[in-house]
Amino acid sequence: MGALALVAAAIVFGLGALGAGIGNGLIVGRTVEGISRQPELRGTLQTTMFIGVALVEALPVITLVLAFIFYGQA
Amino acid sequence: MTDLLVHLKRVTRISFFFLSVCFLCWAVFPRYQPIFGGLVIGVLASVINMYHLGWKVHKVGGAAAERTGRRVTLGYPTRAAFALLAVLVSTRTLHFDLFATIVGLIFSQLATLVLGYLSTARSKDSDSSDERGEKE
Repeated sequence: MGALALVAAAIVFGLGALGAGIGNGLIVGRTVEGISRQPELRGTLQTTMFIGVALVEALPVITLVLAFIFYGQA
Repeated sequence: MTDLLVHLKRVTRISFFFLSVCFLCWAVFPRYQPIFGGLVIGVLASVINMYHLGWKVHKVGGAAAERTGRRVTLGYPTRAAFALLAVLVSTRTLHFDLFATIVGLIFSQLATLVLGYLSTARSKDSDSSDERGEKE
């Protein structure tokens, strides 16, 4: 049970971090590109980026907590 | 005031309204105090995380607009550590419900999603005649 719990924690956190990393990278990359092309649209783009990043980060926060729960059971 | 600050203020107002409902339920239903306590701790951590994210997004936007070449990150580890701290305080110290705390942690994200969808729908309705080629 202990080793399996550790494997579960690693898989949960690894997959959560992978998905969030890809999503955040896409969002931030496109937003920075947009702001550098049109700095006058910075406010609108920042708000859109904030909404996107906040939604993407909800999942890794949950996976982190779940991973530590699994780790605590190991 | 920038769009981002207006958005943050709206989410904060919704969160405080939800917190007041939670405190009211805490007083009315003593049997479910661990659930409402967990929700309160989670929502508070979520609001603090949201302000941290807003500050970081502002810094990233500033670095992109000024083209300083400075490396600015979004600072996810800080928010993750704060979420963990909230869960530890809620479950180990105050003995609140774990799943209620986790639901509270994603409250501001849900509020952001709903508000973002509403503002997008509103701007679509108001700007439909301003599109290129549709002006009279």
